[in-house]
Amino acid sequence: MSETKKLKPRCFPGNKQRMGIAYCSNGWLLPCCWLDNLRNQNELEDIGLFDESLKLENNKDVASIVNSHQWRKFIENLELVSDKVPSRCWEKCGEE
Amino acid sequence: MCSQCFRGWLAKSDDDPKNIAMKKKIKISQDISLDDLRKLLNFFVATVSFCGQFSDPIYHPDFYKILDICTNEYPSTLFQVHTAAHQKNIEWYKEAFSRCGGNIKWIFGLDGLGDTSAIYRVNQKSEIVREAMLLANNTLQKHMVQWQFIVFKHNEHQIEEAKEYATMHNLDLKFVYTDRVWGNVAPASNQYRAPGVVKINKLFLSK
Repeated sequence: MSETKKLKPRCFPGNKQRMGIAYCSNGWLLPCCWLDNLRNQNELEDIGLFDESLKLENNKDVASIVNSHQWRKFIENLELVSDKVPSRCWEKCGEE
Repeated sequence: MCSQCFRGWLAKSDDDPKNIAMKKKIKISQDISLDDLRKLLNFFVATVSFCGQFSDPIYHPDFYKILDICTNEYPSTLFQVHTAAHQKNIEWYKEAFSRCGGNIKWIFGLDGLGDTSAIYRVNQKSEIVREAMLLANNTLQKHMVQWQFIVFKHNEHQIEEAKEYATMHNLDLKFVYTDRVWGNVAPASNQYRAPGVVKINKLFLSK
């Protein structure tokens, strides 16, 4: 996304300004509430975070969602700073 | 509703993509079921915040039951109710606060005194919110009530008055500095402004 910005995800453990996981009004969990934003809906759908299987009502517990391959892939993308990192993450957690 | 929600998109024409996206989002929005709530509370055991992005937590039809669950089933978890909306009368709040254990903190979004708050929080009946905040402060445990004041150009002149009011009523007061703008709402002067949604908080704890 940016050659000058660094990504410091506030959803990562250890971040002093850590953001918590968000449960959204559509029934899905997201890594943080900033991602519950109409502007990046399509990006999140593309990486699977809005898959029907991840809706809370379709799971017996939260652990099965946050340990899902979609969530693991999302975290991996952040760690590797891949081009799959949603633009909203750069907007909120990117630093010059 | 908070001005930070996307309701402004509804003001656009029916065929505008933003209007369509907003209506779709509202259509699939739902109140959390108590079963799903318990799934969350079984996993998140330290702190849980209730805040609305499209509405306000106090409008959940089972909100009293939610308070009961938080108080009785999860007494070790800290809950934070972030509210800027108004219920129809103060009796609703009396009942709500009577159901709150010492693990439930209320944070009231009231950006100024008098009618000032409703400039940003459009249609907020600020007087009811203020009354509810004082009632909570007199009912709930110490430091389990907080007044959150987002500073804008139109309310920055009330900062000192707010501090005096908070001191007089033993209220914890938190100023939120931001550079957010919305509609006719302008950001505060430089000394009270911060880049990003929220960067600087000033907290005045009551004694």
